[in-house]
Amino acid sequence: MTVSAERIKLATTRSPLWTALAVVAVSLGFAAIQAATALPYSTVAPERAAIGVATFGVPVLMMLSALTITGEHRTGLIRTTFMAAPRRVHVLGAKALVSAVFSGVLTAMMTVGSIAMVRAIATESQGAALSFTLPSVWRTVGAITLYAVLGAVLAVGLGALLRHSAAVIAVLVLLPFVVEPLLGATPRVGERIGPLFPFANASTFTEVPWLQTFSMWWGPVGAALYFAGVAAAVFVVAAVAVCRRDP
Amino acid sequence: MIELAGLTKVFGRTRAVDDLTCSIEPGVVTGFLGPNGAGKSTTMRMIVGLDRPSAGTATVSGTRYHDLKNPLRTVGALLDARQVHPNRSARNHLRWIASTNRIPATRVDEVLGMVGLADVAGKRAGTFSLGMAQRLGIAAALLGDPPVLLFDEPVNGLDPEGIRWIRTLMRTLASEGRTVFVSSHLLAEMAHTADRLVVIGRGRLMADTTMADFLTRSGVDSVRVRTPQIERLHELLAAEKLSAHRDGTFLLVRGASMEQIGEFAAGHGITLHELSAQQSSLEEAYMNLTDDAVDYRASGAHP
Repeated sequence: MTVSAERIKLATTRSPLWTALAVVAVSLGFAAIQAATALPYSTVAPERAAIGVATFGVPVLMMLSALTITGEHRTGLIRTTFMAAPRRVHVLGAKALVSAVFSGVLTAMMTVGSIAMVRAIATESQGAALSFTLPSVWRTVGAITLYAVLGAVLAVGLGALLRHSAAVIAVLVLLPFVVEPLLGATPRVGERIGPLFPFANASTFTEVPWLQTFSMWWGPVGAALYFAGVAAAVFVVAAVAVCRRDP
Repeated sequence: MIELAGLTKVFGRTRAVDDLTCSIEPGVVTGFLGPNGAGKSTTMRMIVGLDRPSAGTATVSGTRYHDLKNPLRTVGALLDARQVHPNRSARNHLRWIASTNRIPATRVDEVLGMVGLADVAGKRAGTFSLGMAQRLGIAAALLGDPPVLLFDEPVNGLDPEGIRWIRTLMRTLASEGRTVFVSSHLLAEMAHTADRLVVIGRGRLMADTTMADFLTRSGVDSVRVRTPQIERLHELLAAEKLSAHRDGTFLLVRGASMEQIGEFAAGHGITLHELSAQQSSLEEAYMNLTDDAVDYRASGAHP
């Protein structure tokens, strides 16, 4: 029942819907740019077509997922939530589930939409790798959707742990876009610890090209498992913290 | 029925609630009184499982809040009226709360009608005035039709009409056999509403008594009499069914005017050395009570 309550919460304020619309518009916009700027005799790979979804859409959806809990801390609503459902782990689980489904479904649709859009805009030869009869296209859709689902769980965990929207957004922006690329490009640091960066692993299993300057220790499956492990670990730590702290 | 047993909450070096033991009975309004910072809100938060007690337990109908199945059907609480999402409508706010405790959705419109918010049910809660927000909080508390209700400072910031509405509501809920536990830092407010009083100061229990007893002891509306024949006057007044309370060398009499008592004493040939209106107000009595706690703690620290 906690799940249906979280579903109602997500559906009854306007900001998630506006955010979702903005995410869709911008992600598809990036896809259009990929199509328009593709070189004449190149083929656009599906992960290239969906680059806007993976590098812009999913991170914003992660922030939205984190807001489902940090927003409640800001308004004090979290106390109403925990009074209605005193088993706080269930609340956290319900938030993660609802956010994961919302992010996953939206991301799958955006990825399919991006690929279809590039294929429609680009020439036949440029879009040769984007046919929905190709398994590699569905692999990309699946990988980016998995990234969104795991990212939602990670974000809900971060939100519960840090409790402030600004803190979570700082982590979600600085880690993939500043800390990881910066440390990764630092000589003798990148190759030693780079493969342990969570978002480097996300980039590996989605195969979306990103600012990565070191070689990984494992392939896409290992990277997916590693990213899932990070999300699960953060979530478990958050669950323990939420049960111990007074909201 | 709410039972607190040795309930304690320590924040750092402060004992916000200190070994609180009492039970709050059904069928009456119990006022929970104490100055700001006495630990009232912390106690209420521990009853509904928001704060973890450092020691002791708080149970509702014999069960800890955390172990209640569908807790909103047992306990309804108004802790802070602003605990809503400003952009969600009143109805949707109650809808999600109802769904957590398997409360039918039809109940949402029912409670909105009860608190007089039916016309603004579709409006965003953030646009509500404090009085409306308070009513929405009460609607949320009543949602599960619970036998136990907690209200933390429910009349703060309300207009006279709203205050009267809440008083009537609390008395009605109690008359239906529910346990009603209402906190306030104003004794005068409680005097009109509560049948029983639990008074705390600095987290410690100061008094757990009936309102009538508290008023008698605090000497409100009473006449102070000093006489060398105190025993005899006390007996005579008791025979007349007048409430008299002995306070050292004085007798505090309630329910009779100074003139009546003077004539009564003269009629029985009793010499009076003093006959005066009791000056200490309700608030003073209450301040004295809570000040005692401070003194007691200070002397306890330096034996």
